[in-house]
Amino acid sequence: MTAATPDVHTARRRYVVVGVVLPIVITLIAVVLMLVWLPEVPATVATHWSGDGPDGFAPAWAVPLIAAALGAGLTALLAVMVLVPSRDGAWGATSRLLGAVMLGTSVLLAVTLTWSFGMQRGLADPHDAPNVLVPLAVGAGAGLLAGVAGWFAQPNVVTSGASGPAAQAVGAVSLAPGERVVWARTTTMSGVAMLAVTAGIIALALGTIVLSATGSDSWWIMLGATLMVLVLACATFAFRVRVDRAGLTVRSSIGVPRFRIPLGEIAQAGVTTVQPTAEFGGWGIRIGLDGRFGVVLHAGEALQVARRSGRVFVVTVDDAATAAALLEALAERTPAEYPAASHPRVPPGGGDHGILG
Amino acid sequence: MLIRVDPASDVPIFAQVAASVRADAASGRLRPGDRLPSAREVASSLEVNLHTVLRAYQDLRDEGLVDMRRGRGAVVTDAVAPLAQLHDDVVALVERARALGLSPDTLAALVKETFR
Repeated sequence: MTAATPDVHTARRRYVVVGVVLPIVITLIAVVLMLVWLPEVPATVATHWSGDGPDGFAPAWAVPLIAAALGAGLTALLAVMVLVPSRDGAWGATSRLLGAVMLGTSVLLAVTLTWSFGMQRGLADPHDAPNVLVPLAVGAGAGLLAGVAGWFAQPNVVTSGASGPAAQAVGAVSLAPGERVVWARTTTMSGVAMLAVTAGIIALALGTIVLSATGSDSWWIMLGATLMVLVLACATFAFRVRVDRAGLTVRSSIGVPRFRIPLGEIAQAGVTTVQPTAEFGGWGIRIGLDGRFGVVLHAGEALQVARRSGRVFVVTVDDAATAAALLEALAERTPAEYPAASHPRVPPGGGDHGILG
Repeated sequence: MLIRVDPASDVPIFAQVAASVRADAASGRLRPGDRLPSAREVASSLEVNLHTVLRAYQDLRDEGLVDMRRGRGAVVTDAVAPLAQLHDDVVALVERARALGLSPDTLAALVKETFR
């Protein structure tokens, strides 16, 4: 791996300003304002509105607390996701986007929460709170503007590893005619990703508890979301990767989902290096900004298979060179299933293969 | 883990499977704590009988290279570490034997004889 270039240093520093410092400052201003206003608002404030007025209430002190926890929590989560894996010098458009989204989200949260809190100053009964539509609309508009500004405040840096589906070709393993082979390996999600996912699930679970405690009837939606994320997480923590006469099979440790590429559909198999956040915006079953699809569980070595259809599949797994070499050898032995394919098989040497040898 | 078997070879299939696992351990591709694919998975991939693969795994267990646990399958033990340490020496020895025109059987017999 190459050391971080000056460009990546600039991009990382700019991310810290846009995606960490500014959101924290904005959150801090919002929290301080709400704390100053705390004596002026009713002890119980409106926190949820329906068409004809406020219908959800919470103790006044809970609002600045939630604002602080959301602002700091989201900032920390995204900072860890973007900054920790990019230490080795990989940066891409997704990292830039996450910084901009973080700034926009913090502005939206700060404006909406602070405004809807502040407009209840001097009220005796929170049921008289004015409609929240204006704060919400202004918050969304300001958040959008901040997000766009945050995008352009960051440089457009894309490191070569994150630039596209350039896989290093490998030579085929030499197989005896009739020799049977299988290559199998387990690939698991990296510690950082597991931490991020676990933190997300805990946040959702806490949200469910808070919602049901405030008596809101939408708690079951939150519970459903929590359970769904939990199941998705379990399904993507570990995958079995197998190369054999059936081609490439990538199967979740719980059985589904599974992906299979038959030998006849393989145009080329190679090895690449994957940077999950910069290239795929995170971990799991992912579609990259460059159109690659795959199972991205950790940074580093990955098996990359170009299909005859032109689509590219990636799976992060150790010893990918052996898997790629084996796929090449097996695919060479297998006649193409689609003779009129637009992407014919490319022999690693690039040599001519006449029909009569 | 890479397992290769050649039905045309004189070596029994189960011995080829076991030899592949040993080679994986020696090359560092398998490390202590790694889990071997299930015997069923290997058997169906290689189109061989399940008992053939199980026999190979049992041989590896008898050598102490894997630990068979109910529910966890075959797990590579710490005993593979010496294999990995010898890897470079074995490659060097084989290259030298090949350069001298020795057959694999002759070399194996020599090694066994010296070992006694």
